[in-house]
Amino acid sequence: MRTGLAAAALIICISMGYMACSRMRDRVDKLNALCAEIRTLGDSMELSQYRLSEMLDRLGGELWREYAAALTGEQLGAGEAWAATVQKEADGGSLSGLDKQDIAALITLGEAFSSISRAAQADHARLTLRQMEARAADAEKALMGKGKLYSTLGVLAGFAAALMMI
Amino acid sequence: MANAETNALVGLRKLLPKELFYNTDMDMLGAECEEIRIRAGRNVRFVLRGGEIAGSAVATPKLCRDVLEGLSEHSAPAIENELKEGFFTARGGCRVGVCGQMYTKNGLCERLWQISGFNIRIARQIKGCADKIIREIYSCGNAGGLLVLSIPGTGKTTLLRDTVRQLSDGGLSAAVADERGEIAACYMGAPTLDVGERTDIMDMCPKAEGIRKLVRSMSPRLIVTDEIGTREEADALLDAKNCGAIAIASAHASSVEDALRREHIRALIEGGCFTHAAIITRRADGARDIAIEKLTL
Repeated sequence: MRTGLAAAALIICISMGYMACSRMRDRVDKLNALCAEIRTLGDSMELSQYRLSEMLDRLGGELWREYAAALTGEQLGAGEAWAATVQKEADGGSLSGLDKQDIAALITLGEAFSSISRAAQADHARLTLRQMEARAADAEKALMGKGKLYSTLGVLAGFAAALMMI
Repeated sequence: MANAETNALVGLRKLLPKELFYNTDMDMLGAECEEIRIRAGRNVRFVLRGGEIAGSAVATPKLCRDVLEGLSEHSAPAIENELKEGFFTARGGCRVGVCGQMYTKNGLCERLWQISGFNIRIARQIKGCADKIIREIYSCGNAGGLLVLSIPGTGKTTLLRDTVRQLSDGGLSAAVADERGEIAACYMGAPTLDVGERTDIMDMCPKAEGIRKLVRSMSPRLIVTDEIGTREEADALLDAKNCGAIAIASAHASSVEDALRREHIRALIEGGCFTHAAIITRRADGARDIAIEKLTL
């Protein structure tokens, strides 16, 4: 009986450590993917004369599809629609797992969408990209340090709990 | 001059902010509205066939921004060059004139920003409005070019569109040099207004260049363009005529005499580019009359 409980405690602690680590990895992956998409978007804004709907079509992901739907569905400005979409996706959608500062940085992309000149649009996109890249780099650094720590702590805590139970 | 009429107001309403139309009779607007005028700080005004009404919405800077965003479908940077020229064409072929603060560099217009005024012209397709022209000029089978004349906002483009539609459906291959995208109102490459079965369109290309390219590459029997305004455009049209194409074009003038005072129009008529002129006049109730004159010099 005790051995069984100890094994269960061990498994729970290890998986809690790994879950914390995988949440961090998930955030890094999402930030990196967003950076790549914003880079593509910025290039389109600078080099092509696509309409916004065409640019969003080319990106394809869930966030961009939701944004395109918000633009056509409701009579919101491009910046307002972007902020609303990002908030919605952050609450259990494709952006869940990002922290508040990530979301705030991402919302600044709305400035690019509501610009009326191509130069200003591309500048705003670049600015957002820089912020997101910095956040992705920080998240990666945190994953390397804290991620390992969480997994190790999970294993150690698991063994400690198991030993105490036995 | 009205049967089988459709206009772009229905489509435009989806693009424009809702508050623009508060307390406005949309049925009446749908049938009568020709222009929507938005001026910063003033009430929105709807120009109707036989008058004008003021809407309840006041054009705040935010409303002006929303109008631009809506009409450009959130893509104002994509139409930056058109904005610099003072107009762009919205979906459905509505020409939107804009004004605001122009940023200049070395004496050249660089960018229009802080847009404070819009003149949205509702594009109309009136199938059958060119019946008289077809009957009196083209039914005999060997007619030459046609010059459509009127003062601005009287329906030259609508008449041109229906003329080319009927001639194209009747069997002539036609080519339209549509510099402002008003004749065919192409969207993603396809015309949204009916310009006929056998019509090719060079969209948003400078007229003179468009005419030359079309004659060279599409071998049209009819070449159609709107608002001939420069010597270069007139030369291109003369070249097209000398290549065997029949020219159909419009120009701003209230009569043939007025048109002849413009040097390039005179050169076109003297060069035999046009054999007939159709002069559109507008009655007080907003209805149009078309008078056809044979051109002889």
